[in-house]
Amino acid sequence: MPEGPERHSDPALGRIAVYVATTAGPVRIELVEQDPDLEQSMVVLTRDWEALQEISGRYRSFVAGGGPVSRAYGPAGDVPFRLEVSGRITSGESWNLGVLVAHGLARAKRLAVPGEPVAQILLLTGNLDSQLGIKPDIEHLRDKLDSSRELVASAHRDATPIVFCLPNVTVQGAVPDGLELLRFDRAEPLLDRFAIPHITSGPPGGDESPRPRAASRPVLNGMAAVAVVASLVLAANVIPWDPDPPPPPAPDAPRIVVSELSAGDGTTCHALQYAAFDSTFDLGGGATADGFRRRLLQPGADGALPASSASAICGLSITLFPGAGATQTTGSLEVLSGRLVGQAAPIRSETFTVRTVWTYHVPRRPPEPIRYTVTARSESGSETRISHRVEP
Amino acid sequence: MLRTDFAARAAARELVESIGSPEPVTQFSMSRLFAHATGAAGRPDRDVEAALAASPALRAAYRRMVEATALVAFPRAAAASDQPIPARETDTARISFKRSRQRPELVYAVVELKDPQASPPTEMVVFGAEDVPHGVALPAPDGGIMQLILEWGSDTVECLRDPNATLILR
Repeated sequence: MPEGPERHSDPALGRIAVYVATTAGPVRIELVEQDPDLEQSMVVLTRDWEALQEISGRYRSFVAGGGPVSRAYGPAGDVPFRLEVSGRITSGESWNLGVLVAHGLARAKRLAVPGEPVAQILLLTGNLDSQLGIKPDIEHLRDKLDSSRELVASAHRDATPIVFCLPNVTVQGAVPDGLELLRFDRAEPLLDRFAIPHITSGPPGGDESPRPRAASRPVLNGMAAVAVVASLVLAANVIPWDPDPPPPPAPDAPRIVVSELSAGDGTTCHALQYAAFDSTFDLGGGATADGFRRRLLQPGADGALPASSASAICGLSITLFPGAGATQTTGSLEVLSGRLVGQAAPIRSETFTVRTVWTYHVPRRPPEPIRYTVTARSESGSETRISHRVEP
Repeated sequence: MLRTDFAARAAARELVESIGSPEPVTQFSMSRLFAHATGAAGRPDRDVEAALAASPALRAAYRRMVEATALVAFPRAAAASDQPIPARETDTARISFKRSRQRPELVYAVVELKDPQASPPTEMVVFGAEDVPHGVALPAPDGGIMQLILEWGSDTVECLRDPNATLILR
């Protein structure tokens, strides 16, 4: 159960700076941003843009579907994240809690970035399990506390409240003066405590089905409640929340991403298809500079893709990503009804080792709906399958 | 392997002949330069880098040595590319660049490795005007992809914008 005084429950009045406690000193999470031009999510040092490869791979799993971020806040789509940090985080998983909180604050537009006024500082350490439980085993807690003294002193000089959030463990030795400790055994009460909107409802097995909510605390003053509702609305405009997310994929499951291709202003499908014939027609290799406007299709609550309209699009781009660690993945496309342009047989099957793109053009006025499925299976047997239809 | 080793040694021999003055070479052995070019030695090697900075002939030979021993030596980019930084491709790898629309000061470089069995490269080197090398460390591949961030306007990016610049992975 969370501990600590009531006053921490009202941070919605200002922005919150988030620090991950490390043995080398607190590392600030300076920015969490989705960028469609990124290929993969990554953690970088803010000023020299060096990718922190020690944790970037684990961060990708952390923000992927089925990971803690989507579990807490709903699927974020396929747009990768760039997480900018002020210093190195080289080992361990205790960054989990701070990164989860930073994502929630960023969604609610309450993560303080450098240069902005800070209403409160959160210093966090904690490893998360797959159900948002905070593991009680935390290493080097004493060192993390000791290396935080300068930040604590600085916060006091600025009269900024500072709180250290940690697992439900006993702290040996003295706590730096003025540093309040809050212990949690799950992430949800922590998110509630700081009025960070989330969609979770506690550990699995309970009666309550998951749905978006802001804070479960019965006592929340009016102003904070308004801010939380506003945050929910804002966040919903940025990333659609899925109140009933599909079950998480296996960690090594391949991914399938489908985008609609359409003509931009001042051009037509015909012109683009003709110009792009040589470079993108039914080819793998990630061709992108073809002039088409792309719109990623987001799966709904049931995991199904929304239907497309043939009259509104030029074609479809199907990207297959191999499963993590897989050396070979087999993708197959089966057309159940109708026909895609350039598709020689109802079934296409291909083995790939790196990201592969299949591009198909769609008839402007197909005589019947085009229905197809795409399956990707890694050599370990992990399988991902999508279904999609294009209406005439 | 024999062929690349021969090419590298030929470049070294050519280097000694072209420099004329033995001064830069006497500061370190040729094997040390070779080790620097192949990545066999630890970097940075300040003696080698100081000599490279001082001698255009040494840089030209060093570039050929690096090209001959690189894991991936990309061909010149297609001149017709409409991207600010042209993509390049070989049988074993593809490298592409995308300037972030949200953060125009950033350029995302993506290396796609086609052969999952091959040893992944650890450094990208682009040679600019007068063969000045600009190296950037590569992260470990994930799903056959390595992604890094470059700054728009940096020396490295300026070199990469030239479709004729030599670009290798080692």
